[in-house]
Amino acid sequence: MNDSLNLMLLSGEYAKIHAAAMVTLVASSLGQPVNIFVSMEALPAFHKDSSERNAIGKGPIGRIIAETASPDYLGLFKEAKDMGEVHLYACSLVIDLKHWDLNQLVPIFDDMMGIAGFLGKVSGGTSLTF
Amino acid sequence: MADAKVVDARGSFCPGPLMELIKGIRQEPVGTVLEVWSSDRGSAKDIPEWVARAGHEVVGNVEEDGIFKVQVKKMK
Repeated sequence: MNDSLNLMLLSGEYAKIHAAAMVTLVASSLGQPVNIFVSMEALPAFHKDSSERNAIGKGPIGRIIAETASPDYLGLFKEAKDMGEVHLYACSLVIDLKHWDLNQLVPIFDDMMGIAGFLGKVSGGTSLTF
Repeated sequence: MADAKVVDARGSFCPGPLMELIKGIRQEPVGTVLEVWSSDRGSAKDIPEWVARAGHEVVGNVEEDGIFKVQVKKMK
């Protein structure tokens, strides 16, 4: 859809992932479809194993957000999915490199795919990278 | 300020008050006025922006002792 919002989550920085979750929630609440490709250093933030999730970087603000924000970014993404048309896709490259399966990630992903697959899904709209 | 159903989001950080408002709006019938109480200073501007985009109406917006009270009428 041309009015969709397309996010690329690449950074393993907690604050950026949280910001992406807030953007997703507000866009979803306004009826805007959101497509999210999670790759590179961001994907471990979505692992079921908390030791993987906790390994992502936190700057001064990220630390405060992690300690105080409720819900956290996973909760925000879940709320956004419940509220509207939000699709998350896990990067197959990182999954392969880490020898993971999709079911080792938190159950908010619609599918796993490569960048070509994601770009094929999002031929229009606004794109942001975090 | 009109009589309203209070959504007490004091102590919640951005976007918590907005999330609480959205949940409230989804649950209530058209015509309901909700009043969000927020200690988050961004809410007084963020909530009216969201309300305008979502097609509802802000019917009140005041600050009392550091608490922002935004009244929103569900329009659709």
